[in-house]
Amino acid sequence: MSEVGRRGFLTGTMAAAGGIALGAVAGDAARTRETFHGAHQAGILSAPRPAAALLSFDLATRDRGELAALLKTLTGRARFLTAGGTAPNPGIASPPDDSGILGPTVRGGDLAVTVSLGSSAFDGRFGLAARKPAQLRAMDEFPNDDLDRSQCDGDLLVQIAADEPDTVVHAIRDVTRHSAGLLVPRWRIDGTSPPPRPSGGPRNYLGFKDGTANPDAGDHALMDQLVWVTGAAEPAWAAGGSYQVVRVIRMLTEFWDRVSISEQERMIGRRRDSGAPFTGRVEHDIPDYTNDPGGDATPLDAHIRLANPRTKATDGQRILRRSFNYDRGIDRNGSLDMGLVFTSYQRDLDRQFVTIQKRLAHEPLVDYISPVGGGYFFALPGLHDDRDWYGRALLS
Amino acid sequence: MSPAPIALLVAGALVIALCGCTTAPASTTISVSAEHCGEGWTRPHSGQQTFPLANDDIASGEVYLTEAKTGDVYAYVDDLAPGSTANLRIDLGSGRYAFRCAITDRGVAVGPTVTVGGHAEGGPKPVKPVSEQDLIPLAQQYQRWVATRLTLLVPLVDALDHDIRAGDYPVAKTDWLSAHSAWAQLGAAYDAFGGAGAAIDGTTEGLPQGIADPAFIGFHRVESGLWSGEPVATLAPAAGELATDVAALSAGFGTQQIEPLDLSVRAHEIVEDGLRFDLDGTTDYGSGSTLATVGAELAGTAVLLDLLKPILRPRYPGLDQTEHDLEVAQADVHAAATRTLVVADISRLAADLAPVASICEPRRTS
Repeated sequence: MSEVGRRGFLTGTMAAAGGIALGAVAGDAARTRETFHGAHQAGILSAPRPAAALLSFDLATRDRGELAALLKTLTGRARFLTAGGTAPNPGIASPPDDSGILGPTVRGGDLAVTVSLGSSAFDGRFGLAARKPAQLRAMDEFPNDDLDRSQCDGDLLVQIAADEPDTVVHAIRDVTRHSAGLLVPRWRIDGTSPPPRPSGGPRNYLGFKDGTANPDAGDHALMDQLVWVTGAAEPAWAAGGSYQVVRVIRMLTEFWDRVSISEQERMIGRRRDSGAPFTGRVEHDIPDYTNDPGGDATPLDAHIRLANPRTKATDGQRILRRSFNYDRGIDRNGSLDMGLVFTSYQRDLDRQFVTIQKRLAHEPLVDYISPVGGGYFFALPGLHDDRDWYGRALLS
Repeated sequence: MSPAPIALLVAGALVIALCGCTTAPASTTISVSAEHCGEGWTRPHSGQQTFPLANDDIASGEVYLTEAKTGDVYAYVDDLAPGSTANLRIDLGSGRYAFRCAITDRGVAVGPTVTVGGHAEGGPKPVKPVSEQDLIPLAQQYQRWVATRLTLLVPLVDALDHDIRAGDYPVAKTDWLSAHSAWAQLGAAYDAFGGAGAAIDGTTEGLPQGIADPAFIGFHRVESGLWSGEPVATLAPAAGELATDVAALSAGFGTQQIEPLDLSVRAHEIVEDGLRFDLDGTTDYGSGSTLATVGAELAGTAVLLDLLKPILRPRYPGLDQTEHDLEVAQADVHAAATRTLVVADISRLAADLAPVASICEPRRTS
């Protein structure tokens, strides 16, 4: 192993042991090195990194053995990409092992790979039907959706996130190359997570801070309660994993820009400049709906109020949001094609995300957004040590 | 984690930082030259390291790091001009090594043997280089095979020409499919037949008027007219031109030579061509024969792989997997499997075949 690889490993180990809170507040720029091994996968609790790509694949593996071999290969690649190091020189045996995009030595440390499975991976092909997570299914179509099913679902999702875009591209090239012919790309969306403007959570392309109300990812007990799957309702292998919802939500930004600031703020339920709720002064003040049953202060159909009514009954419905902005040029009419790669993690798909999404049906904001793709996935449990591989418990 | 292991890890990190061993260059500069090849390797040690190379000869050359006794190659850098420098990065295991310098117009110089002690495993295993001499008989064998196939193609194209002139399009379509499939087996990838290949199997790529462009000739020109019901008066000349071009290629091919280097790259380029041009439907002008074309290309690849097998067997651990993946791809194409599956098969095969070109590239190491 190279010096950089070794040092990277040590630093990562120390950071984790030192108990640095990961993404305690969404948007906090305290970016940490990603740790590869643990009870849970990397890239879930840590604050969204500046650059990301989500790639959904269909499996072309022919049986369970090939699937296991593929997942071992993926593990090996993710381990290398995360830790960094120098790719071996194959001499005359083959073309170079690495694309070279990051130079002769991959620095590592700021990259997180997260691997998830879609419900179709649990069909008859690999004999996994009986092991499917209880709530995993093709993504529901909600009342205001405009889904292109070719841009939805998939057998296997790889999320790659890093501090720099070239690190993400390098990882995409590495993963697709080493899975050639075994993973067939189905859809892909690239995202970014912007720096604080000027402070607090990352702003989405509506100009509002996003993910402000996230539960504290550094609170282990809370994460066990809201994010990590456990218990008798789910197959034993799934413990430590999480339901991952991805929704590619286009934002009709030209239309949005023609709406008055007060109407925008009433649709969202926060001030655009500070991110503060109408009942508070700063972003992280807790919205107070107790003396506002008629919606005089915060409209009853404001996005944040529908999403999280802040009642005891809805407390357990909270989700961990890990969204990215996307920008992919223009559509055929010349309109800007940009929006949000909404991503959330939850322990209970129906109790949490689906309940919230149903509550959001027909909210005023739906005129300005259009969900077009995404899927429900199950983020696999973490890799325990350097001999572990993605899906080992599932396939063993 | 308890504090104790952290302390140990920190101590470990300090040791690495202070020692700095792994960043140290492997040596002072290694000479690439006919007279002093490999000199300058002063502090042999195992692990990931970088050799600075400098061509201090008066001619350009290439350099190989080899196993001292067998000459099997661990790593190489080629096209080093006089006075130029380059780096050779490698994870060295324990063993005995020698640089070999192949300077233009000079014999191959073998540098001093250097021993790396200990029991370090190191990076990938060395590979026995392939020489031009190894490939020449295979290239001749392949040349004869192609020549024979071209001879067999001539009557197929003549029949196509004849049936088009007779206005019998249903039969002509069958003729076209047989002839084009026979042609695709020859692996006419990457200008293998030069201008003649472009005339016989060119597409509308780069032609401003598309299928109406006067420069659009060959199989696809005939395909386009045949499947769209073009009148005999305009289609027959195109078919006649195709027949003439194929006959000319066949007649002249016996005297041509296939370069050993071409042989080494052909095996994977046929498949790369299929991926890029055929599987996306770009080269279909109405016949819907994309899968048949890909099937023929796979057959052509199988011929080359068979030919190269004696070379590859002792050198390429992935050969069995490659042959397996080729069979799977052929079976899926034959069964007209889904496009997704066929693309997956061919992508995988292309990845399998990439090392074939690298291993079979002729090298001058002795």
